[in-house]
Amino acid sequence: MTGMKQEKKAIGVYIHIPFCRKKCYYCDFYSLPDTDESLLDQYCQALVTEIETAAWRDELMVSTIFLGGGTPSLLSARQLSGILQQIAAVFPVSSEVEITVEANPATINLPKMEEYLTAGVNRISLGAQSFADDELTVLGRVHNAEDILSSVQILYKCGLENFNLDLIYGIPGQSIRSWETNLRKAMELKPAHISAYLLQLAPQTIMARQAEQKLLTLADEETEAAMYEVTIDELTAGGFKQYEISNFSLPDYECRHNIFYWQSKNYLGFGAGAVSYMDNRRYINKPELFNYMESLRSGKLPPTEELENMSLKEQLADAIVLGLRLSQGINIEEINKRFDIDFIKEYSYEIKNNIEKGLLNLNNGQLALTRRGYFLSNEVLCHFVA
Amino acid sequence: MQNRIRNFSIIAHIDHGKSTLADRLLQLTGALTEREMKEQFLDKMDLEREKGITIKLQPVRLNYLAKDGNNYIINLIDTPGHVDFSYEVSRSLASCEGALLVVDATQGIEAQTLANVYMAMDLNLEIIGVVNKIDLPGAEPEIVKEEMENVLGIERSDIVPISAKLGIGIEEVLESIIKHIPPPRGDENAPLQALIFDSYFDPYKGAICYIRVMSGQVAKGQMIKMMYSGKEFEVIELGVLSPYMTEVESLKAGEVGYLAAGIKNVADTKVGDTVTGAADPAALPLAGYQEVKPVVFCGLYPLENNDFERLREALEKLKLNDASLLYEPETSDALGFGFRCGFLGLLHLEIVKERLEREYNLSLLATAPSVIYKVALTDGSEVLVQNPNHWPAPQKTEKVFEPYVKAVIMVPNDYVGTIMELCQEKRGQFINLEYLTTHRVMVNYKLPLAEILYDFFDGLKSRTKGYASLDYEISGYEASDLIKMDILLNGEIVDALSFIVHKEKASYRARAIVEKLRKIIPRQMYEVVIQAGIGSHIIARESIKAMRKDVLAKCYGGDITRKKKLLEKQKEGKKRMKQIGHIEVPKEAFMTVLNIKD
Repeated sequence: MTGMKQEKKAIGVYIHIPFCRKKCYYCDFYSLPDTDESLLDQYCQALVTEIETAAWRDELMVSTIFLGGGTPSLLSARQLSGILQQIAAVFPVSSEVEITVEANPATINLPKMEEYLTAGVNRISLGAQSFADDELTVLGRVHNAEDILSSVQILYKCGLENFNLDLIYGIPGQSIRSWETNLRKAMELKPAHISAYLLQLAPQTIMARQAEQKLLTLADEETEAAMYEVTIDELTAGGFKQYEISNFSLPDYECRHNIFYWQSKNYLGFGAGAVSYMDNRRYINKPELFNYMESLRSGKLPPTEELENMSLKEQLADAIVLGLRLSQGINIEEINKRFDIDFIKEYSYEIKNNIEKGLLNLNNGQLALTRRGYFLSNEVLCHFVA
Repeated sequence: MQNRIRNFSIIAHIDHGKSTLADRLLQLTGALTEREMKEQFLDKMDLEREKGITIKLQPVRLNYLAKDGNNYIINLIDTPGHVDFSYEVSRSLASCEGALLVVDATQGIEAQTLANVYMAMDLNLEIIGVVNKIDLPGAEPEIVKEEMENVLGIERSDIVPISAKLGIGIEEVLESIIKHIPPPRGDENAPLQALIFDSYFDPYKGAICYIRVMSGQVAKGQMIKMMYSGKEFEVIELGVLSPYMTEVESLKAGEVGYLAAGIKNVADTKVGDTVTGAADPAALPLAGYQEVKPVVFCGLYPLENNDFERLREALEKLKLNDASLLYEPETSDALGFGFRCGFLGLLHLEIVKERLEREYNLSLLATAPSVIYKVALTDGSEVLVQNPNHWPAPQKTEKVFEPYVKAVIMVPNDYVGTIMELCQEKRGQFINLEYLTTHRVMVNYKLPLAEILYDFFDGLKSRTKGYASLDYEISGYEASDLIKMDILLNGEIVDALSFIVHKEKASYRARAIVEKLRKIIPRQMYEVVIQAGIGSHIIARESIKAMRKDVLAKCYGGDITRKKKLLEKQKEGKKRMKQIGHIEVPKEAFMTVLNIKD
């Protein structure tokens, strides 16, 4: 074996920043409405400690880093830089690492953004959501449409082309025309990537409760479906390529970090509420901020909970259910090799049935959702869960 | 010896406290220790406990030291309390010299009870009246006693007031049994005649018969003969239930016990058959034997097509225990391979289906129940049809006949109008009305059996706040204007949804069913058109819009586990669906025809 260089395993690193100025009405992610500078400092310190404890394997290679939240752009450049430096100190990091920070339009300014880039950030995901102020109000966003434009100006000034705009459709009161306008306005800002999400409310969210009390009227299925059609048409016409159910990008600007999730690749999550997937185990750092910080301060690992410890069968289900979200779908040959099965034979009924329904497509050894299949994907995917 | 034996049954309506009383009797006579007391000891199946009703009976032998200083053997033969099993009730009663009539002090006599009391009286049984639940706030024991006296001629002063729940009056009941019920009078030296009043299948001992020796005696090792089936067996085990199986060497005239003879099939131990000695047979069997015939039929299909063989095995095993169950393989274009099954009634159907699902871990789909129709054909022949898909073409049909029942409904007189309205809706013919007391009446109607299957009980209960009770017996066939209705999904007839309906009700039922199916069938990939038709003539139509959205818009590292759980749940939901063509139909849909309100 001497002389042979072992191929390192590419992993993603996810950093969760569970703070927001204010919780959006549709959000069910773990976050707290406290943005006190010293609390952020303490939290970043805890993160640095947690990353330190993870340095137990040398065969990993960090290929992507993603700071999500909450609102990671609340971090000062100093705090952000401390975290990134720690990752680089502890793990081998690829020279082509993708480093994304989610940013809220109301939280960035030019000097901070310049420092972010200096620290190594090379991708920004901007939570635009809508270009209509009334829709932003319904969503409970802290910014307005004007803030989005000025944020993008800042990105231009920094010379950052690789940025994403998050958009939401199916907002109560939103017309198909208004959604179309949002898509066009987004494209006018020349992003490299657009994520267009259907508004889907978890039961515990503020908006779900408002809808239950009839304070809001949610969009009907027909409108939602029509909006999705418009999304694909408009973005494709604008030169974007759909590569996942809700994700579109210019060629070669896909979000590599997110593709990791759908390809069942390994990732390590740090921070309170962060999920990791390693060695077929999926586990979460409990979403308890103070326990998290306290544990790390006193030299212990933060409390975690195992979500899944997957058998081979479950890994196969993951590979299918997640892989089919991608436009390219899954490669039959790869699945057969990895799981030592005859995939087409094993799932002949499910595959045939869904092809007949026009939801799946089998082409050149790739099994993928059809255009019609995207918005009905649960109907397909549920057949493949373990 | 026989002077110290008493054999009795308990007649009671559901919920009037029969099982609780039986448990108290067991407890008081020391048959069960406090520790062994489990509510409703005699109801063996979980299903019985859940439904609070007795399906299968289990006899029990009690030893009682009476106030006269003598020790008595008291055999309690529990009876099922449902119209589906009235033949079994009659055979249990025939094994006794007396019966306790237990009536709820807050409810009064119910129709079912009355029918069973008349049955007991026909068999010359001594009836002891018992008013139960006297502890309840709404109890009116005096009014109930009056009713028992007026309707059944039971001496008011002889009626024992009790609370089985609190254990009040139990000893008085036992004393009354000793005093009023005559001891058995069979001749121990005559040839053996033992009545089989129940049987069940034991995987180790084979079929076990519960018997009442009417005359002569039976001993271990003896060769016996079943007088109707003609089959002969050697007695391997004899015993009594006190309440657990206790072996004995012989059972003599007047005694009640069980018998095992290496019988491989419960069908050879038919309820009502007479056991006699093979060497010295009785001249005649005991009177009253009947072959029980199913009256309700439906298709049972496994939800998973490859469970067909498992369903067959399960039915075979269940049949060992339940000779009245009939089944034969059938095929449906929509549902694939299954079985056409015959039952004694709807409750029997429900019990069998539930037992198959629980005890054999099957997921089953039942098609709408059907009665047996007689169809006279133009060529002069006659066919019996119990599956709508075998309905002859109209041009070949001369006349159609359907089974009718004579129904007895007992109800407070405030509800007479409501009851008559309901019976009229169900194509009933009024016979007469009798007053039981000043405010309770008995309404007699002739009704098509098929109408009783469709939502009659629920209608009866809901329209009378639960006060009405019903009993019925099949009275024969009558000519009816019946037609076959088909249900179509996207233009294709779904054979499993076809049903027979009276012409006058056809268009209403068609609309109601199509509307109901629209609500039950979830949105599909494509629009689904639901139609109801007679022959090629469509008389009702609804459509279900195509599903447009079923997606998880976001699925990233943090929420994969949760999102997968949603998909798993969805997959589970699909298991409750039957795929017909490309349409997923929930299994409840096949019973919709039952739940249509007229």
